[in-house]
Amino acid sequence: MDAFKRLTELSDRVLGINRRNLEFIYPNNPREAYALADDKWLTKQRLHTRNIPTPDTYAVIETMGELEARWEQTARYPELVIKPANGSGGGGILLLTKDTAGIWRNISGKCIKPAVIRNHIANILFGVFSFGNTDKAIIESRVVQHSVFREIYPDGVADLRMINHRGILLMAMLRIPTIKSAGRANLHQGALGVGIDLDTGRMTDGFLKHRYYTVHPDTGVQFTGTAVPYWKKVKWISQQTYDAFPFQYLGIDIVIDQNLGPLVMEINLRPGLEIQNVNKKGLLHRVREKNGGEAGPDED
Amino acid sequence: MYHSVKQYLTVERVTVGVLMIAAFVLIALKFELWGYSFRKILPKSGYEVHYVFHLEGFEEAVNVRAYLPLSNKHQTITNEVNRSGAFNLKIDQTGSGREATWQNPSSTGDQMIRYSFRYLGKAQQYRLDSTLVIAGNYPPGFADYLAATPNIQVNHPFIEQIFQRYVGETTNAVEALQSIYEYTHSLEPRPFKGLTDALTAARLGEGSCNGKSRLFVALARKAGIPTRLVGGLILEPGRKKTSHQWVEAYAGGYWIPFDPLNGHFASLPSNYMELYRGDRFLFTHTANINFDYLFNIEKHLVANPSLVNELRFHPFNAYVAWQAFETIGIPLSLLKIIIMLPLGALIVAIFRNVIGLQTYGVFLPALIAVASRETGLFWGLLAYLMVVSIVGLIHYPLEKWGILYTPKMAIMLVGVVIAFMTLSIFGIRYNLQTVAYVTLFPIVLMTITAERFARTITEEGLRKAIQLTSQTMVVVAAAYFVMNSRTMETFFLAFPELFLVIIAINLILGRWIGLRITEYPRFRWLLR
Repeated sequence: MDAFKRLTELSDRVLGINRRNLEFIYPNNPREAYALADDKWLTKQRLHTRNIPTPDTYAVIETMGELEARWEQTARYPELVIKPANGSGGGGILLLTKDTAGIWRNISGKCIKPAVIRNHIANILFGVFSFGNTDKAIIESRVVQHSVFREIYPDGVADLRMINHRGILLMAMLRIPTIKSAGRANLHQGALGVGIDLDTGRMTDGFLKHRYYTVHPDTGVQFTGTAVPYWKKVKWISQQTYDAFPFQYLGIDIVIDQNLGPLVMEINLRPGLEIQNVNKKGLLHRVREKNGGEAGPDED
Repeated sequence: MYHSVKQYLTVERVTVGVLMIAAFVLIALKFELWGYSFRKILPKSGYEVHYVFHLEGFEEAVNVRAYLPLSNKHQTITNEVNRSGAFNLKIDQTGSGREATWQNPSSTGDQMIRYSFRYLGKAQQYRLDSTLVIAGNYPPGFADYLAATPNIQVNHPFIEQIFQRYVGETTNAVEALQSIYEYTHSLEPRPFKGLTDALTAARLGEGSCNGKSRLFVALARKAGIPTRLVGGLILEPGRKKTSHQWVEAYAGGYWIPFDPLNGHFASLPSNYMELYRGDRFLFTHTANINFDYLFNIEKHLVANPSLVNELRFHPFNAYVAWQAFETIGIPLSLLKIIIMLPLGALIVAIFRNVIGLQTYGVFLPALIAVASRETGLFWGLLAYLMVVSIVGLIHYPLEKWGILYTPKMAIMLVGVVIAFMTLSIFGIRYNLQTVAYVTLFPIVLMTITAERFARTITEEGLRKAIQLTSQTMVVVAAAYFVMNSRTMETFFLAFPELFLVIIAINLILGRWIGLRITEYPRFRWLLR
């Protein structure tokens, strides 16, 4: 009986995939607007026009014909990122830094010849990273990891996931890369998820592979209790982003640049549910708190 | 908005209700108006019987002769398959039964002859008219059924003595048969496998099936009732070497079965397979070989053949399609596949949305399950694993060279096709005919989802990829067992309106917002 009560309690608090799809995604996110989130260039365009901070776009290459000219025009920047507009799981992202001799190098310091870069862009256009559909290549500024995060783990860029439902920030987590995630801030790929106290912006415990942590498992640096820099601005930007799009349930991914502060990287219409384990709190429970006892959608 | 959501739910609930009721009404109508009954609809339990003969010859002509069963009102024989390698098979219809002869002009080394078929039997029970008189004159040719033979010593004095003591002179056929049956049945049963004649059985007061049967025949013939031995097999799952003999006595114009060993009076159980009539051997072979044999018997369910015949003229059942398919020569197995696919898809939907297993491809598990009908589940899963590993191996270099998606898929498809052809040829060469059916698998779909397996490895690690693959295989197995159930098959063939129920269940599943079972352990952290 007790076990049954506990299970009922769990299903009262936790948002599962079925309910997420039926009550949060389908009624709130119009299908015909999905492209705004799936195509990162469309997302960025809208962010740019609303003056919501996001990495500078140096160039967008849509056809082979404009590859040469656009690349030449962006090659003057000392650092840049090349990524597919419709990529998934971090595939096809190339980070480049120009050394003092003017030679492009990737994150591990390996020399990358211009021909290789052009070939990579061509691959993006042909859809190698987007299931055979032709794609656009976005060339944008490179984010400098904020020192607060760099101290916890030196490589890659940590990233905040904010879940906004009907204008209310439901939950937030920080995703910190690990050795296993190889610099990527994706929980599926082994990044550490860290809960965030929404009021103070302080990090709570981290969750990875069925365990909670207060220190980073690879570096041993404690993060629990550390404040996320620019937290107020992060919340404000996330709200601005919510207002800029015709969606009412979305995940907003924000990184924090050492010099520029919070930058919106992308938005996600099917945000994952693991954030509940990370924050030790059910999304349904959270919605109910906010709505004063009533669960589910109740707009009029 | 909340109001309209509620309204929408009502519409959907009404739809579910209407579908369920429509299905129920149609099924009820069939029972009420068209004389359906569960006994007719439920599949019959039949057997798949394999004769397996091992021979070792030495460069000489060899032949082996055995009786094959014949379809009659007691038994239906279908799907006969001969696999005898270098041996030629010749089948002759003789007075005693269907005689198969396998011949090989020069047989050397180990050889195997296999013959298999499906058997569906019907139990028989005769009610004897107690006033039946032993007739004096019988149709021509019945003299043999009354005659003495070396092993059925009708006229021996001891048999005469036994006859007087246990049967006595009577003109009532049923009384005589009753006494003979009771006497022979009361003899001590003995598990001897060799031949026992009537006299020996009588003298020892005990007997095996053939001893008791011969004694029964001897006494019945003495009473003037035409009687003959019947040879056959008692079918039960497993391997066996023992055949069985019982008798048939001619009374009231019918051959009535009796089994004095196992106690069947004027009745024959459904699993008694008749093979021959008369005092014969089930098989014989030339003496120049080492010979061993066994009968391998598997139980399996088949659609009631009389139902198929009867229902094809009734409206609203898939047997109508059955007949149409038959007329234009489309294999019936295709019809069964099509009919069972929605059920398989429902199983997948339950596993994904209620249990919460993840699978590669939405309906791939159902398609693999249905394709495994011919190969068996083991080979089906093995074929799937094979595709996954081949694609995984090919994917690696192609991904590294940055090959575009569509050409990459095309190359993988070539790899999979080659592997399947090889497996088919291997199957045929090594006498694993069922394996050759792997070519029926949805190769393209398997390749596409296997590519996603390969991508999962790069994106989320090998562990996750293996986890997804094994969950896919679990769902394949579940779908296999449900879709290959003969009971389900006959139900869907007889009541295609069950499709409405499937739609209704899917509608309910599609609006179900509960936690999936696997989400309980996943979010157990929230309980503390």
